[in-house]
Amino acid sequence: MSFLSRIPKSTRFHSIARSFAVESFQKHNISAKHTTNTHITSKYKIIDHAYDAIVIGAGGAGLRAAYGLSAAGFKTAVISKLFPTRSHTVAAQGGINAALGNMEPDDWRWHMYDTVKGSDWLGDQDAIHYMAQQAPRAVVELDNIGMPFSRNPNGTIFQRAFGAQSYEYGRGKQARRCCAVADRTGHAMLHTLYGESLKYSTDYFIEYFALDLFMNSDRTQCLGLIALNLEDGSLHRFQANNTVVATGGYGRAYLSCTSAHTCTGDGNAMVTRAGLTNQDLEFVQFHPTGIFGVGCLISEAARGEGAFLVNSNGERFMERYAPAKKDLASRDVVSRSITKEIVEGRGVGKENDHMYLQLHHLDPELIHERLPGIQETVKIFVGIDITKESIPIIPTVHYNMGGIPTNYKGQVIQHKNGKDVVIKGLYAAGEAACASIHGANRLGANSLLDLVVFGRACALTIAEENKPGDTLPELPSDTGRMSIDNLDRLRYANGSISTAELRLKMQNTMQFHAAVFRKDQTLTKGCVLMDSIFQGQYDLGLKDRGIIWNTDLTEALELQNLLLNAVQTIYAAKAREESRGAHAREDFPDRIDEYDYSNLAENPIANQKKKPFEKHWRKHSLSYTDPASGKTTLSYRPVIDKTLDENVCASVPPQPRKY
Amino acid sequence: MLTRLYSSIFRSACLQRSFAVCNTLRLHSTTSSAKKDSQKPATKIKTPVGKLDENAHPDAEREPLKPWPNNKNPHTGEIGGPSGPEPTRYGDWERKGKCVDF
Repeated sequence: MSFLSRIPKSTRFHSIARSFAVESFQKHNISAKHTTNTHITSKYKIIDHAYDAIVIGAGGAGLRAAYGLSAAGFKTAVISKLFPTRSHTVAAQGGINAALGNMEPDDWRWHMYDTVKGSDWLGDQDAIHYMAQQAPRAVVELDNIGMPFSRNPNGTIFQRAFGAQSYEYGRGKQARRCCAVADRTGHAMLHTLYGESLKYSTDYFIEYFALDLFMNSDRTQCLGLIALNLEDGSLHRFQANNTVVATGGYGRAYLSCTSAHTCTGDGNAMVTRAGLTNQDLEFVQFHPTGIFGVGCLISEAARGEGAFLVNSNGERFMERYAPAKKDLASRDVVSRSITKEIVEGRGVGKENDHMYLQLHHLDPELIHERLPGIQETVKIFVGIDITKESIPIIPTVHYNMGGIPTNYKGQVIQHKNGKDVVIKGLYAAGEAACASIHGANRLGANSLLDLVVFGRACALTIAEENKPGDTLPELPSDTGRMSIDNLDRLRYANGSISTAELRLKMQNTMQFHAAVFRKDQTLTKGCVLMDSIFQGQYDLGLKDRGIIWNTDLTEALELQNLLLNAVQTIYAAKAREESRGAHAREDFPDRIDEYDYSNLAENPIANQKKKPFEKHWRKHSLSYTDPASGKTTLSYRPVIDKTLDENVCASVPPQPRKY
Repeated sequence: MLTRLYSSIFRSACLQRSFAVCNTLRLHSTTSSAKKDSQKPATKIKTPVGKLDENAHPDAEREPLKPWPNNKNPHTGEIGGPSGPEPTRYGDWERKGKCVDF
């Protein structure tokens, strides 16, 4: 009388089988095969995959590119060392700028002008034109996929004033262009894009650490990449005609940053190891008051409500640097003052390396009402009560404007013989890329826009120039040998210095030599220190010899990537002898363009003769570090001033920027 | 024959059971017991829906900003916007004193 005997035999088998069957969410590549090479397989399991397109990194830009490619019919793989919804895009709370004109009449050309001005004329105007023109379309597209923007009563997307936007080419008032999803825009965007990409058959390789790109022999084409599967220690070689790098920034090169621990500039380093140059790495955006050791930023609201900065003498030092505005001076002035005080020896704390923000003179009720987040964060992470003690603060890294150089279509370019040359098969988008829309300084709410616009641009360019199912070239059987050798060497490294120690040394050096306050002496000393720290990676000692979930090994690989980024940043900063945007030099306080702005009324730029390329600094820095020797070389590339179509959008001639 | 006996007992048991079930249902369908059922919170705790409005997750925000009535900001007319004071009032995007974008 058993229950099972009542079911006919055929369905019984299926029902039992189904109850034990495991549903796999990922459709793994069924044509993956083990490699037959004898050298490498002896120790590591290597599996080969072939795809039409690969996206490295699953943040905002990566997911947008992936879903664009899958929707166009390409067999796409997304490789990420984190689960997609854990990428750092999720932490973005600010909004996206778009000239929708829902609140007041607006025009995308005005947005373009504001962005060019904000970039201190280092942004490529064709890419900025493209982004500003595509912005309304990109935001509406996100809205259509299901991103829950906050709305007006009439149903249109609500826009607020944020981030140095204006109407009528700077002549009008503050523009209302920022669209947001309550206060979790990045979170909503990432989840929306992830959900949308799952509708298409994209293969996700989650918790795969991308090690290196494969290039052809003369470094003009990218053929794929090799990645380490953290879960079981196998190595995977991915071959594709198109690779999109969207790995994010490298905030972790500095001691104090707002980035997650996983923001280690892997894409920039992979591109360096592939023999290509990175662009504008010296432009790093700082915020003056970040909580020391934590990375949370304290808003100007605190200083607006009455808090002020004090040094070790208990002095309110901002009165000396900005007598009129004091603590409410512009952010770069405050950052520079703080760092100058620390360098001159008036820092607080055990190592005299930070400053105090004093709030305890304010009414505790006011603090609790207006600034409860700071109260809570400081209590949890620093362990002090802000109604009694001062908060330790230090200028904190927030965003990296520089990265892999691309054109407005998202294709990676290099500068050879005075011309921009496209690298076939390689694309970049997001914070890892530098299509140069942010130029020397990023405006608020433009970076989320950058992700979706250029993620889509990469997908469109690939779809235009390739067909799904294009044949892949034959790869030599020992492709990836150098990456595996490096991995193996690190895994069995037996040196004297641990990963954490070397990383801390690098972060300290970068924070105090290549931070906000840059002077030739400090930068030169920093370069020498960074060179020796770079060589220190050959003396690393790892304790974990396993290959499954070896976080010691992963952190060592990330440290190698960070070192490449950090060395290029500090060398590029030392070489650039001017102050532009986020790169401010004490000894060269002015912006040095090809024109002379000292007397524009009598000598307008139309009548002036341009200075030669070598004599001015309105150019992109291209940096390359040889991974073996650590030697950094720099070259320069001109800024693109022409827009995509001068009749539609006129280019903006350079002018002095008044804060 | 034994099987027939068993099957007849089974069928009668079924009939008897259904009779008992019918009675139980009749008893339970009085208005007083219906009210008693709705007052019982027992089912609420066991189902996921019940769990959602109970004790907040230990990692949740301790003092979340109070949402606007009807989810509509009375000062700006924004629906579904951030609660608390306007995030961009000092030029950067801040929430509870912490800056997120600038």
